Amino acid sequence: MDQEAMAEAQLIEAAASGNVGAFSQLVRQYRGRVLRTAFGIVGSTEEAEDVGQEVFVKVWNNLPRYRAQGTLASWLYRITVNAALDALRHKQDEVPLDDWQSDSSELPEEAALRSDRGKRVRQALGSLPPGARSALILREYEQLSYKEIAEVLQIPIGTVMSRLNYARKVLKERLA
Amino acid sequence: MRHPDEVQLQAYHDGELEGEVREQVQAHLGQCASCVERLREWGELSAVLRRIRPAEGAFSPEGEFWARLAGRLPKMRPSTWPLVPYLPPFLLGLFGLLAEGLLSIAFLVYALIGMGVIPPLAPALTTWLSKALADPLLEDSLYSWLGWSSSEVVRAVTQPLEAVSLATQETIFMLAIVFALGTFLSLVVIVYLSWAMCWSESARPNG
Repeated sequence: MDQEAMAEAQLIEAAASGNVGAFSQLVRQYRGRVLRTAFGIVGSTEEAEDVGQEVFVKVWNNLPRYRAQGTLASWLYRITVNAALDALRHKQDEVPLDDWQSDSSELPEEAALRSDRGKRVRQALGSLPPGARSALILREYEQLSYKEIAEVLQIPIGTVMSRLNYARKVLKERLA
Repeated sequence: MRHPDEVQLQAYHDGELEGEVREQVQAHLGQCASCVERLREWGELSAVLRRIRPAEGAFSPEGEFWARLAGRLPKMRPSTWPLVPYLPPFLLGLFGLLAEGLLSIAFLVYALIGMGVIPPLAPALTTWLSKALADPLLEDSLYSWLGWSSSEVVRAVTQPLEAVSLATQETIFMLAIVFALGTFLSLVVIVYLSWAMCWSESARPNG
């Protein structure tokens, strides 16, 4: 175990035994990854933050039962994907797909990204089935390997490959 | 080599191809303009997707996020149904208590027989054992399959018992009861440990 992993294991242990300071360090370390992944799936910063909050509350509640069978990152990504997909299911009951990524509270940096091309890409992403979208976000936003994606989504590597292929083909067609 | 399929080409693009397959695809790309073009398209799509990846500044500041989260963290972590984690050890204790109770009764009976307070149980148990061994169900199944007769079995079991003193007979019955209880308790412990290590919530992967 390298030094970084040991330090993380100590933080996990401390947070699991109720040390809020240790937990805040873990949050600081993983917040970006959690929010980006959630954003890629739900499509709005506001909802991604709600998902992020939910994820970290779940992590806090379940840390004493956490067993390091994979990495903490994999566990967090898994919780994030599941929470984001849940949020998406609720959202799809309420908001039409065209409103994907159109929240009014967006920041200037976000607005700058929203070129026509960007908007089209986001809408195309939003139209992908959740499984394919999750795999693509983990690959393209988080640059996880196929093995890591398989671990997070708990599917075989072959399924990761076919989901990525499907997602990319659909995006390519929609953006042509 | 014929054209690599889309999945292979994407795996190459993602740096997920290894060894011979990777070399074959690489060699093919060196001589096939259409595959190079396909690869370029996947690369372009990846670049577009990474460009729309939200920047750190797209979200609320770290302090604000933590302040909101800290307010939501429960002071007491919720547990699963409060009894569930304690149920197996509780049941184990209950079985132990039951076994201990039965053993105490058995030893008390043994002591009382020794002191002549109650009549010896060995003759009654030998009679019960003879009847149990001569059961028609055993005669029709196990004995007929093994080619035995019930009278032979009864004789083989009871004769050695009758040949020893009454006190020895009582000891043999006591040891048999202790052995049966010990086996039962071991089974309970094995089942509990298997549950704890393989099927319990804490043994399952998190997520």
